[in-house]
Amino acid sequence: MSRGLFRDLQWLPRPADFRAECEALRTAEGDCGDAIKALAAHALDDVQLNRLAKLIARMQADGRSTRPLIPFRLGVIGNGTLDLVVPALVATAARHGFLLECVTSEFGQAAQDALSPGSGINRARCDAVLVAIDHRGLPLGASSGDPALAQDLVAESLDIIRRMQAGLRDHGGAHVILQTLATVPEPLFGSIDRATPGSLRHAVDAYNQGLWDALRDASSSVLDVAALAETVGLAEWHSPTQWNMAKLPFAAAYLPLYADHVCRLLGSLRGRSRRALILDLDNTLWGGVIGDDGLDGIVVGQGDGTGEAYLSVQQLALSLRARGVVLAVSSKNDDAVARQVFREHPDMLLREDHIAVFQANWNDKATNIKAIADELSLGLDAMVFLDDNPVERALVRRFLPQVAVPELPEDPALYARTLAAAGYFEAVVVSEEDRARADFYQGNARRAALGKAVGDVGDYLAALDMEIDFRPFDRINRARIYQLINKSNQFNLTTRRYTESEVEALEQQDGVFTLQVRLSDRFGDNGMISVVICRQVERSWIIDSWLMSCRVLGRGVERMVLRHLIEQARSRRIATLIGDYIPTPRNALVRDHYPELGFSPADGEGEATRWTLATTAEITVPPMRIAASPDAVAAA
Amino acid sequence: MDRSAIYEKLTELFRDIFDDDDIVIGDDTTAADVEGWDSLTNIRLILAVETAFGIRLSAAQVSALAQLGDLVSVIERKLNQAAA
Repeated sequence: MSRGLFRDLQWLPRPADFRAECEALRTAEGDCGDAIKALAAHALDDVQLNRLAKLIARMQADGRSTRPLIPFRLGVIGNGTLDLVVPALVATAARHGFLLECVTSEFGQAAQDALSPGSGINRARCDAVLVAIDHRGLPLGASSGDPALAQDLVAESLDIIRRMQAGLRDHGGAHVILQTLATVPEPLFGSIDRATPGSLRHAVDAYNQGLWDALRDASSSVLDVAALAETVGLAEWHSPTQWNMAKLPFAAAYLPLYADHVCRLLGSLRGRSRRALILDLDNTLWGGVIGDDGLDGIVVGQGDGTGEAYLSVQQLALSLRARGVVLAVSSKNDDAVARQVFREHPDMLLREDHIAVFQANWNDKATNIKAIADELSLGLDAMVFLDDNPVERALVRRFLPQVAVPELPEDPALYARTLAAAGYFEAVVVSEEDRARADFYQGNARRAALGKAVGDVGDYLAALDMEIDFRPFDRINRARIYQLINKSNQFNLTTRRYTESEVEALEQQDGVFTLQVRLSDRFGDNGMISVVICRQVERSWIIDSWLMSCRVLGRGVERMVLRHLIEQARSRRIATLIGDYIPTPRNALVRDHYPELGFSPADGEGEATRWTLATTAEITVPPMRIAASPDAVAAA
Repeated sequence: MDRSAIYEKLTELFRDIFDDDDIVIGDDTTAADVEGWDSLTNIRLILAVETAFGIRLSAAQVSALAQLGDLVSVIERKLNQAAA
């Protein structure tokens, strides 16, 4: 599972149709940088990266503008085959905002090129040079088990690298990126290898420590290949077949991952790492929906597998905050209800004062994220947005492509790992200033003023390919209907609760119209998301209950439901729909539900308001297909 | 998976690797017939075949390939072994 996470860059969305998108890029006009970057922002495999790199090269050759990609010249030297690495780097660099030009050395010429003032690498005046040398490019393995010789060989290896580093810096003026070595999965003695000079594992450990201690300076950075290989597994990382066949320094399946790590480092060197993490709440920081499940119904805390999964997300957010990443919240929620969790839930690690901007409302998330960025005076390209809901993720990617939005797996236990794996907050140095930054933004958890909506959500909805399904209550779905009726608090006009046997009675009752609504879209099946009950009084339907899951808020489902109600009412010669809104502490969200749908005010009782609509009304609806009902199919 | 299904999948790989959406391949296709099929691209092709078909090829098996039909035969044999 996790192997796929890293190998396949699963925090990135997969391309819908890579070839078609390449073709669109080929024929695009004007500045192409953003379009290249958008395509590169997907999880591309080695072959796709290569194809994209060729396309970028052709566009440059044709004189096309690649603005706003930032040119970066990277020298790459190493002891293995670099020909596969370079195109992967070029395409991946676009993901990080760079137009990468790579300068390489001939196979086997790494040391000469680094040391010679007149070499191609040094004359190219690279912005940075990556020294991609592995254990096979250094004399580490030649000790034949002799401890004294082994130590000498480690020192000699470090000296070789030190001289290359100096050559590249002094002759080429380049920032040097050194690599730690991935040890090998072939032990000599066994468990004692790590403690036994003469084994390769011991030599690699000593070399890596020497690299960190002695060679890292202001003109150099270290790419921790050892950590990368450990993360994916040494047996996965090293492919003896591919080394023998083509001198590939690591298995080609990990080229996309390796390239992403190199480019993160380049991004960090150029100050392009991200600086703020915006968190969704329901089912991202805790399990469940606070507005419906309540303070004692949400799942977070020790002692429960799911509760601990959400704690791990909070822990990571806190750790990131401690190193200077600003935290914010964007959630579709009632502000007071959402804040209550931070104030009162005993198991929450995150508290209100950890949050710089707290944006809980019912607007679309793209508009809210823009408001958060403005409030923090940070660019959208400094933002990361974490949300369990694929529809929200896709919406933010569409309207705010600068914001990084990681894909998340189904299991919340893997949320933290996935966010960390994406490496959005890569740092080449750790400064006191960074640590102080979070306190600078020290959260009064303020609310940001909303600007205008960032995009036309209608277009986005059309692309969701939604299908809605209407059915009367039935036995099979009774339990879910009962559950929705009894747990929905926010989008619930009357908050009337019914027992399961009362729900059963409604199925057959004369003069009662019942409706269960399901919604699916291109991201999957949302299941049953809405329930309506109408009771006939003369030639009117009184809408006894109308409730909906907030997960599908803002998609026009209520308009589809209303149109369906009107059609059904007309066919039963009903002239008027009567809707009541009974306020509770939780349902302010739907206070204007009926007037927004075109109902006219009538007399309510007490705090409740009453609204009416003639069934002659025409309702405009969003783009959504209606599933053929099983009854209609049977009748036809 | 029969040979025609293998060819269908291989054609997709060839189109991406050689960056040519009109490429047509068959049993007697060799490196000389395809523009850009050099030793490096050959490695890329072998790696892509391994991933796409979920098989592993040894250096000896790769160097024994004379024309594309040989590769298809190897793939066919490995898939049958895996299924058996």
